[in-house]
Amino acid sequence: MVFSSLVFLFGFLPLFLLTYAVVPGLRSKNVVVTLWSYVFYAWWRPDFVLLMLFSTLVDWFCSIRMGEAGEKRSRKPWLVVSMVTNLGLLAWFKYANLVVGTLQDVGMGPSVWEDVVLPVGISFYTFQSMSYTIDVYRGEVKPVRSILDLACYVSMFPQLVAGPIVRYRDVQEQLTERKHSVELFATGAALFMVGMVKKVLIADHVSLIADPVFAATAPGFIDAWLGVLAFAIQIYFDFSGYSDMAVGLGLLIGFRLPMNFDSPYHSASITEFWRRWHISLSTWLRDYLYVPLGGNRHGEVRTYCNLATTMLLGGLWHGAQWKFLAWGAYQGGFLILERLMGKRAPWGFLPKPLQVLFTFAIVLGGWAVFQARDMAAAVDLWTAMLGTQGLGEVPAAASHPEEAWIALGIGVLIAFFGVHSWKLVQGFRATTLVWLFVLFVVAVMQLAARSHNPFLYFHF
Amino acid sequence: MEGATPVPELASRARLRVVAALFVLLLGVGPTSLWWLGMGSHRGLAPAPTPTFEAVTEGVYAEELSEWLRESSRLTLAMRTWFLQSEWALGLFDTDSAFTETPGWFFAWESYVDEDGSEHDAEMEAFWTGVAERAERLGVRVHVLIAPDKARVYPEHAFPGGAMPTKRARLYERAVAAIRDAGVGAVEFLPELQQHKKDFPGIQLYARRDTHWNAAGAVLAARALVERIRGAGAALGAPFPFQLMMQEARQPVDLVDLVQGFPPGSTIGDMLRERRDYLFALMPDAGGGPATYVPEAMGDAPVAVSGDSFAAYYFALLVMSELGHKVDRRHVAPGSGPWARLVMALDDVERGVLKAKDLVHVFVERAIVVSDWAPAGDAVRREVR
Repeated sequence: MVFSSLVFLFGFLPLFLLTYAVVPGLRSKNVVVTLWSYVFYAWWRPDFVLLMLFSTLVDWFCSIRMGEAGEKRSRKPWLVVSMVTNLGLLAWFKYANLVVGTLQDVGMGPSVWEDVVLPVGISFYTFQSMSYTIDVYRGEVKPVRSILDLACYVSMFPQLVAGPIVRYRDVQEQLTERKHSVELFATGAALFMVGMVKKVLIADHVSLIADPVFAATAPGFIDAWLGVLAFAIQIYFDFSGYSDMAVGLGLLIGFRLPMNFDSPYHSASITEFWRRWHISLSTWLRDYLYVPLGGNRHGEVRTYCNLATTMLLGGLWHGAQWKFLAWGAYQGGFLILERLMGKRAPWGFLPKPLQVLFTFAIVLGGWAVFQARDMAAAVDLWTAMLGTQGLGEVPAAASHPEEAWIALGIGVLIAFFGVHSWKLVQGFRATTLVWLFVLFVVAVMQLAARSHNPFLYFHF
Repeated sequence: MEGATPVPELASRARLRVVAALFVLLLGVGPTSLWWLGMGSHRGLAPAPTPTFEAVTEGVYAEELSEWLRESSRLTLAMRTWFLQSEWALGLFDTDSAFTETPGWFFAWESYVDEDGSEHDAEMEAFWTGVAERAERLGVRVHVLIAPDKARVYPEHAFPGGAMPTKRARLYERAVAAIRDAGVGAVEFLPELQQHKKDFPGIQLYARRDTHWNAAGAVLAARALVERIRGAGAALGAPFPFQLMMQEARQPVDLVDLVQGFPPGSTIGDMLRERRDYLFALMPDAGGGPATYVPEAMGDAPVAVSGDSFAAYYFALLVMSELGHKVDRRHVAPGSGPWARLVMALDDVERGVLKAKDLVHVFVERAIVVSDWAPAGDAVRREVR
């Protein structure tokens, strides 16, 4: 189930909130959250709930044993069990097809192979679960005695399938001591509505421009740039909209989840971009991969290696395709370059608006790889963006629906000049609220009117 | 890669309470309306799927419920209409599915395919020849009633200047010729439609926002057919006593699906449904009193009607009325396509399930240019079933 669906809005959310409201006591409310979260997840594939349950059980058991073990050295075997289980599941479900496909390409794989189905959101909840056991191992978090609390944390539907990646320590206290208030509820509602509007009215419309370009075999210069620009707007409004909805839903039930975006297209360098884009992933990678690898503590060369490794794996986290590895390498390459230049972009000497523009152009180059069908298509798109395939037919670019153009224009304006969702909600001016409600109703009506409702990060 | 995960601070204005109340109100609209309007069957709308253990555990129920919410629930249909109407008003409405020349009149996109059907000649000939041979072997007469396209009957509302494109203009007569050349009885009533339109310009024969004929159009079609059947000397046997009853009802018009919107000025009810007077037939029960018409009880009817929605909208029952005899309409199935039910009816004759000696098939003109034609062989029958 996704938030931007009629089933969620007309059925799941009202019934969940009603149940949550009538059940007394925080503990019972956590049971409600957990059960409804399993329903939320089972909506797609009921059997995969067992997988999540298994992962939760293993991590709970390992964390309890780590708590009993005392010394860090004695805790390590249980950490290994947890890591092997989580990463094993992730490797099997997410990367088995890639490995077998690659082996088959070089004549070494099995001749018959049935593709493994990727459980929705496995990358997100696995990373969450792992962060818990790692934190317990490090002694930063006490093992949770109640498996219900852990199950509630892992399965919590607002962030279950597309993040933000919440760490246990972020919600540990909230599981037992959170407060509910009308103000909190209203703030959550407003944020949820902002997210829905961003996703449905901007991202879904802009995808009508982006999709044909990424499906084309030989786009021209104009189409290529237009398509990649549209995708940049689409993925930002799609993912940040979904994150806003997730944080908003969390607030409805008293959870303060971390924000995941901070106006990323305002960035003047790639380093800054990664501070503002998918913050929960980049900080997770920093704390659980980059720092354990040694971070910047072992000299320049090792730092660059660690950075490259982190970004490559971060790229691969997005999907089992070589293009994601290439995208990670591309991003990592620029991060290393900026670090070599004293933590500033090569274009850092330019006026700020131009720095932002250059950074955005580099980001667009990355999105071309990210969204292309495969590496060959990515190369085609890059060459088209460089103008080697001619300007292309202008009518091809101009044939998109009017609302797609309007959405793209508004999207660009908001992405570069707009305020952060959170600031918008904080303001709570009467006119803003009226507009918000009107646009939210329009967005819901559009959900009923249109079948085109892709959701990008659902696949990761 | 740097920077702490920000945790939001919260606004604390009094108007947050208004936001909370409004949001709860909005969320309540969904379940309340589903409860109020019902999740059951409405005319022309599918009922909500029933959850079974297997359907839920296999994930099928989730898909079915999502599909029902999108396509058949009154709430979402109303929202869809409001949304598309707003788009229309803002000049943003865009569809490739339906067209209009005169405001308020809609035509399906098939009406604008400028083809004369010649590229389907070989397939059509093979199909109709197959039908004729089979009918002869089975000892039945097949009458193919051609339902002219709405754009042919009302070109002034469909095309600039009221002129149908040249190639398309030839399609109808070519279709009639193809049926006749194959030795199948073609029943034409386009001249009657055109004459009636000329004599009584105030009476519509096709619905404005629907591609089908209305009751008046269907009466002309039924009369033309009955005249043909009687002229062919059909052995009808004794007249069958029954009674037709009119009942007012509303249902979605077919262009809702195609155009998904209506011109400004329509009411919500108009947008969703077009008022339609439904025909019901009553037949005598064992004691001679009125009982609901049961299609299965018409198994010994001398005439059978097959076809898709054109056959269903008034036509089959009007044939019964005009004829005064039973009509087997088990092969009237909206959405069944242009010829599939004719093949199935012939199959049933072969198996002895269908006793009628006169088979009437309603064939829609606009289907010719968009149909996936194939000979009436075993492969077709398998596909149909």
